[in-house]
Amino acid sequence: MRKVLAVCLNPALDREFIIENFSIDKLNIVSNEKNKMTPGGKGVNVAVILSKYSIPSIVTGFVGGYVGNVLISELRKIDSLISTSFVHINDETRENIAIADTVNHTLTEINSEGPYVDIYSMEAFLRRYEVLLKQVSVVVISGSVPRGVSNSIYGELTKIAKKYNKKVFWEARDEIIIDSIKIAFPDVLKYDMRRSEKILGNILHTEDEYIKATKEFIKSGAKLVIVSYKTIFDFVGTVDGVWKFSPKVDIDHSYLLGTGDTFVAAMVLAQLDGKCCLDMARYGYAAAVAKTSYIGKEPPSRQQIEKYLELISSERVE
Amino acid sequence: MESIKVKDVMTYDLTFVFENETVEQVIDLLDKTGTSGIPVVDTDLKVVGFISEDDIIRACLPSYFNLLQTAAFLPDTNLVLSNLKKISKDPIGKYVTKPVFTVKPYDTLLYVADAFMRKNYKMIPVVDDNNILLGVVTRLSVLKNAIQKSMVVNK
Repeated sequence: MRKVLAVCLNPALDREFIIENFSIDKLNIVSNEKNKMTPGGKGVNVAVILSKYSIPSIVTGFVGGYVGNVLISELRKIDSLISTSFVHINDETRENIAIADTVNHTLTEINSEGPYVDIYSMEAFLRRYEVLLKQVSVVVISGSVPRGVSNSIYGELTKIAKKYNKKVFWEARDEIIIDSIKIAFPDVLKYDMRRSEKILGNILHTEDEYIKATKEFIKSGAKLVIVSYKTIFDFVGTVDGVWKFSPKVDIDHSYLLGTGDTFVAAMVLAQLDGKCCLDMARYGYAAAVAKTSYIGKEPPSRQQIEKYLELISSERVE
Repeated sequence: MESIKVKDVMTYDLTFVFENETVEQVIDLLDKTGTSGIPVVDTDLKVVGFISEDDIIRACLPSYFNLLQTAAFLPDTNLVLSNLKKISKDPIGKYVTKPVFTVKPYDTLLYVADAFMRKNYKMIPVVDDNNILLGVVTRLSVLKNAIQKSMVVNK
């Protein structure tokens, strides 16, 4: 049985060009080996990481046009443990272009706005989502929402998943969480705070404000909440209290890329292993900290995660 | 060649349609995915049929078409187009191939190659023991994998 349904509503094709002395208004030639193309989007990333731990998954969402077909084809090359089941739309899938200049240390990014999803595609998606849902035990909904789709979609999808008693994980930004929790709460709620420090519309500053916000989510119905604090710390709330997670090792901030997806994937792994609540969050956090100890896209091995469980602290703060 | 199994050459894709979706929707999906056919499933993802371009073209032709030697004998050559328009809102269930031929992940490549040759299929749904869709296997993927395998043997 495929164990996980990874919902990636707005996947992207990530294009990376490494160009020494990149200059605008000139022709820049890049060799094939310095031109990478990888499927992206948070849900896709989680499925890819899970495949490294031999966990089969189905990835669903919307793809469109030539870029969409390239994305699917690249995703299929990664691992046969990833099954694809996308709804095909009229608009082109988004493409994120990054030009890294290793001489002048610049990073130029060009991201396409992304597709518009019409009502018919949305209906087709919802019908298929419910069918796919029955095939898995865990649903991960992660990442941005394309134009035309309501921010409450995470709540709608969770409400359907709960009809079938599935465990639901979210990693999302504040505006999606605000609209979606009005409909349903997931089992695990992880805040994506990469582009915004807002929680429920407010910018929080002190540790007390973070603790209060974490408690509010639990009061409203969440079973496990993870709120990132100053990038490398997390406040974790369960019905039993609130904890502050910290690393016991120095974190290299330039290795933080992909740690959020590793966190979520490792929590799913822990859930499938039968771990619950705080232990699940600890496993995710240890995996994320382990991921910062090296460059590269590969997730840490299970042995590395076990080792890093000793290199993190979880202090009860409430 | 016999040692390669379907699971080694199949595409793990779950693009499917339901019987009550329309001919128009299926044509649009075939166009967007660039495939010649799509598995038809029920709400438990069990494969109940297969719909191909051939099935849709056949549905647009008059029933006596098979008796004619060439299409030139058709009284109205616009018949196909007008029939296509007529059936475009029909549920695809009316034209689905049933029962559907399926294979299992542990079937041999030889078994699938035989089915492609004898039955002229371009794509076959792959299912588990409960008839739940796992993906598809195409003629091209069989050829591609067979040639890669023989290249390894030759080395």
